[in-house]
Amino acid sequence: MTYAVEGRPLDESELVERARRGDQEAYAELVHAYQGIAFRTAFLLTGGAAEAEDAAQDGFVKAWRALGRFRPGAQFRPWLLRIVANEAHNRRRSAGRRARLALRAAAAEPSGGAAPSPEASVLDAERRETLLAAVNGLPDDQRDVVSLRYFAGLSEEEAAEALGIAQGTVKSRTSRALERLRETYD
Amino acid sequence: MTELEQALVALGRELELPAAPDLVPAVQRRIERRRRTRRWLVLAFAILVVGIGIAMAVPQARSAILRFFHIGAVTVERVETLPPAREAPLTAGLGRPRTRADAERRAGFRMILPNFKGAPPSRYYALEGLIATTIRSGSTPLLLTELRGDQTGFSKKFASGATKLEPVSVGSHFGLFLSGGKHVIVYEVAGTNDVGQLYTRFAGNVLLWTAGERTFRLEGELARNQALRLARHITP
Repeated sequence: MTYAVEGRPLDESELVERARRGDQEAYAELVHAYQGIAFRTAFLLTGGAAEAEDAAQDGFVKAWRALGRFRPGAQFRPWLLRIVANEAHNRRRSAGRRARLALRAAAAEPSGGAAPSPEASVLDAERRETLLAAVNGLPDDQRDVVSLRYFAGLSEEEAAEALGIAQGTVKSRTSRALERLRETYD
Repeated sequence: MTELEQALVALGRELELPAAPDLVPAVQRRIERRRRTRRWLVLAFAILVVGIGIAMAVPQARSAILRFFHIGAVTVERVETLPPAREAPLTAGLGRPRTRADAERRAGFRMILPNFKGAPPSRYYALEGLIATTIRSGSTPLLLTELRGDQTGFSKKFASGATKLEPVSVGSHFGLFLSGGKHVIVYEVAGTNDVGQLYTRFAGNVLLWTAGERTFRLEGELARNQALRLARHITP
């Protein structure tokens, strides 16, 4: 079958409407379009690839079952991410722990004599390690907000929807988290 | 965006994030399987309703046991009068507590358990072909029982009309949720050493489901959705 391009499909509302009427092909296109962000969100909340895959898959199946309750005209992505994030939280609770996020092997190494990338110029290897350790050390509620806002690239509104909290709470948790991180970063 | 926020965005690009798997085939399979299950359930219920109607129209049949469902190693029966039973602890009738290894030896198979926040249960109960332990959901004590194949006859009887019986899906597996009025559990174990009816007691809400050759039974004061959520963590 042919899928819409990666990212937000242009005719999302039409796909959602078709899926609401039971069109599985339309829903497959939505899954294809959002599986990347769904998996990333679940991974950042659980810290484990297997748990993230399960959470994202269960999230999509549950979202399909709940499509009848989806408000026409509403944004599909934050609604879906809320379901996926719930699944991820359930898995994290069951596991009783959360895996720590890690840097890619190459990113953890100093760049040697090579010219630094734009990212590296913002953050050298040692500071990356220190900052990540500080993020990993944040309380879960603050780490969730930081991960979704800065690592998954969700807007404040989307992070609030995904975590099932008010936008003001996202703001305050972000602010508290940044305050803690600044102690390490500055 | 402050420098720290820019640093966080840059850090996000350097994280070890596994490539997202292609979820489309698995999601499609599960949706399709669920549709087929639903169609089957609708048909099964239609047959059931007709069956009940016919049976209830015949006085002899009405007074006799109306065999209702057989799910894995468990038989669910509807009766007009409950067999004598008493209130008893969840583990009553299952013998002495054992270590997990000892219980698994006695049952003849390994128990599947959900992931626990704290320490896993320390007490297990076993009969041949059956293993059980108590777990907690919040502060609610639950009895998780697992039965192997059809080696154990394990029947539950309940009064007509008093107990609600709902077909449910545990992932892709079929299950039944029993709730409401009092019902009775009877262990009837047909193993080498345990023969005949062992114990009869009143039971709480129960979720029954099967996966492969294993029959699962979760009992306790849980709502249907809570029981299903837990069951999904247990099912392999």
